[in-house]
Amino acid sequence: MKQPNNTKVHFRRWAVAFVALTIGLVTADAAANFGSVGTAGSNPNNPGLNGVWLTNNDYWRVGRIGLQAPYLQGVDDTVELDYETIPGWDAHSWNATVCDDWNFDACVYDSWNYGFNGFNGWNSCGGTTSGSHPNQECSLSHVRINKNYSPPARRIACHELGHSVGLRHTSTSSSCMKKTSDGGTSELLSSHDRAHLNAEY
Amino acid sequence: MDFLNKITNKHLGMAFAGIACVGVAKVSDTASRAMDDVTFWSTLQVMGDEVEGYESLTAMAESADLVVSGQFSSFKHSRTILGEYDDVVVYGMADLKVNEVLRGNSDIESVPVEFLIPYSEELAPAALDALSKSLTRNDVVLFLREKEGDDEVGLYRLVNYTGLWIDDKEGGVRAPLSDDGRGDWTKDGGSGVEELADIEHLQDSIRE
Repeated sequence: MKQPNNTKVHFRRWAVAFVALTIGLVTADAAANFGSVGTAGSNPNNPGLNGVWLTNNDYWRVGRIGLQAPYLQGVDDTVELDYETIPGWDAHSWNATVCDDWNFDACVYDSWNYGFNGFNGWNSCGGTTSGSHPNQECSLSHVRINKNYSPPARRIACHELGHSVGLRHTSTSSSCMKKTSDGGTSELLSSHDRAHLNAEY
Repeated sequence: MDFLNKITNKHLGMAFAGIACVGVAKVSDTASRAMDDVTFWSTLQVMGDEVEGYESLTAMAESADLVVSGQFSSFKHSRTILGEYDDVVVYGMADLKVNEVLRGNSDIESVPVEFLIPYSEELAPAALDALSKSLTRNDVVLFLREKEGDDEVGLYRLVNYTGLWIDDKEGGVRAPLSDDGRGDWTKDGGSGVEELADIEHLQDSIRE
């Protein structure tokens, strides 16, 4: 009977362990970036409407509220060319002058007036919440784009709209959910992001 | 003796009741402060994309216009901004009583620090009220940037949301507004902050 080469066996074991660890870390990071977070609003002293929320509508409607170039196109591109192409998704955006949860699930605003607050953009819940974490839903998300910092249009639209459908920040470079302050530059959802959104909705 | 026994028993009963009340009050007070702490920081959190990022606390300190230690003395409404169409954004302002200036204008005694209040116009007053009532009294170290807008003269903001550190009064420090509560760079083992001594060491290295 041929004896196994101990060096080869050890190398194989280490290689398997390394691959398993790498897959585990990548999976853990990706898994960690989906699900609602924030306060639920049950505390009467705290409105509790900041954080990440899921949308409650499979037919996802985004309002472009008075957006100007380049953000008008950036929002349209990210919704129609990225989110809409996720299997099972039906995502569209329209120009509008009023935001309400009858017509929209998320509204995007841009302005110079926000001042220099240190944010390229941010997301908050402007409607009502239901359910419980990590699946809490918001009926209407408000996305703001701060023109004072001239953030790349498609990237900031992808990032903030991601928060409005349940995506959290990530360290994955191929994802628009990686923060600019963390070195993020991608203007697209990663395959992990898309898998989360496909699985949830 | 029966009378004395009765008095003694009555006193003992009252003493036990008193101790129980003090105990309950202490636990209740601790729970209340913990609830205040959660309310204060969770109300201020913003889910968004920050402009400025740093690889270490020292790099952030060197970039900041002002680094100060102190305590918040008040929190109130600052400005309501009208954007396009039905867009309304509200800012709140914390007044920081300065204990020590670690970097920047050493004559400054208090600093107005503006925070985004990420709530609708209808809910913002309740959020501001909650922030005022739950105002943290813990020691804080802030890394600040002078705001640049025409309507923002004299106001400061955090360099980013990892630029606010609090003494947790248990020998540790937290960055309660950062994603992980401890500052992102602690993950890479660079200039991690694990305890108050690390911040104090930082204060020594950046003190002007």
